[in-house]
Amino acid sequence: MFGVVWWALFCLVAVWLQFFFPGLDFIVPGVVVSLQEERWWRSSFWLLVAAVLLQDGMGGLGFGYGAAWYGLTLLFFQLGRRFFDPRSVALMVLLGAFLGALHFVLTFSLIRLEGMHFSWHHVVWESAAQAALFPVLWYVIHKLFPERLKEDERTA
Amino acid sequence: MRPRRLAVIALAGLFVYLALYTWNLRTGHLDAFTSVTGLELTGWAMQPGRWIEEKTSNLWRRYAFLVGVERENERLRQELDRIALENVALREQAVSARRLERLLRFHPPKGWTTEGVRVVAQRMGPAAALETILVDKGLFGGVADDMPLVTTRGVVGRVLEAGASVSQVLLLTDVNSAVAVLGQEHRTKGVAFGRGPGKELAVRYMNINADLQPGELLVTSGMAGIYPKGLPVAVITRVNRSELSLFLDVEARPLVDPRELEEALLMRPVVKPAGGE
Repeated sequence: MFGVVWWALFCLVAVWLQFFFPGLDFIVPGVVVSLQEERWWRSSFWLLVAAVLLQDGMGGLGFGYGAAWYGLTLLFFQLGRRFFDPRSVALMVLLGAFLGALHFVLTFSLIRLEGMHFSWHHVVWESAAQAALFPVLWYVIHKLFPERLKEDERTA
Repeated sequence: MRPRRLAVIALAGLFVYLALYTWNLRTGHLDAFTSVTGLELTGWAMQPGRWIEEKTSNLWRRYAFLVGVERENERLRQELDRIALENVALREQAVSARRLERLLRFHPPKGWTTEGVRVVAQRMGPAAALETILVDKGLFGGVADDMPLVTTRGVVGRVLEAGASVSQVLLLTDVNSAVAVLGQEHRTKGVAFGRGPGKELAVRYMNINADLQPGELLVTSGMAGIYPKGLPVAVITRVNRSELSLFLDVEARPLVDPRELEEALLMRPVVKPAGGE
């Protein structure tokens, strides 16, 4: 129950931060912390579903961005943990760079698939900001994450 | 996780994703689902936050006013602050009332009705590639896709996606926005395309022989069927005649700045009763 409340409050704060910083995802660092610290079927999966619905719902694109964004983040994280410690800063910096590139590629692809156009410079800036911000946000959430919710010996 | 297992899961995921994506393209069910869940939750998350923001900023202002006040003047200063805050709040109410009064005075064209909405948020999240705003009415309030959003000054945009009680509006300035317009004086027809936030609209397909001048108002022509005829859209700022084109190269400044928008009017076509004359 405490976990549900913690993640609900986290999502509320993240949505508000997204209001002040349009184009950025503040939920994804929380998803990564959940993947690092919790059992995936108990928390991470539900958090992922909520994040996909929130991002696709509030976004202007059709369904598809959120699922691809979080799906590929999950895949990159799973691949990365084969080579790095799952909580290493190096992996988080790499994941940030990957997310920056992914934001541009996904926006470009999905916009073109829908036969629309977009502002290039906006998306480039958002990608750079997402890449730079992700490791910082991950660090903050990682430090704030309650000890009693950690199940790390089973997931690391 | 073993590499082979990871590859199988990734391939299966890709297959499911493509299946869902193409199914949604045909049916739109997942778009509707995310609108009534994700968009709705976003609306709920924003509304209490607005209240907290207002209260917090009031508290902060009060605290800031009181810092450094001498003890003997404290009561008087507090009183003064209270009156000053009350005055600010009353002024804000008066301005808001004037704005709402202007909205109430707006007379929709024949065959259309209007309904007031409040702007809840600007574009949000990584999937918000389009220039949009969120307004506080949705399907439950009778909002449908493509309904025009206007103010007394002019057109803001049209509904892109309606959630249960929150809707997303595509702004005029978005690069995917196109509005059929005509010059108010010279009646030359064209199409006003958005070029991104803060940028002027590009008006294309206006006859090269038209005697358009900067300062002329562009209004909706009603040709596309989304906007009623005659709503103000933008003011022409530049007219360029090229020998290489059959059309004028025109730029126009939108009349409404969406960044400063707090309330607006949604326009709804009046549905005539079936079988009526």
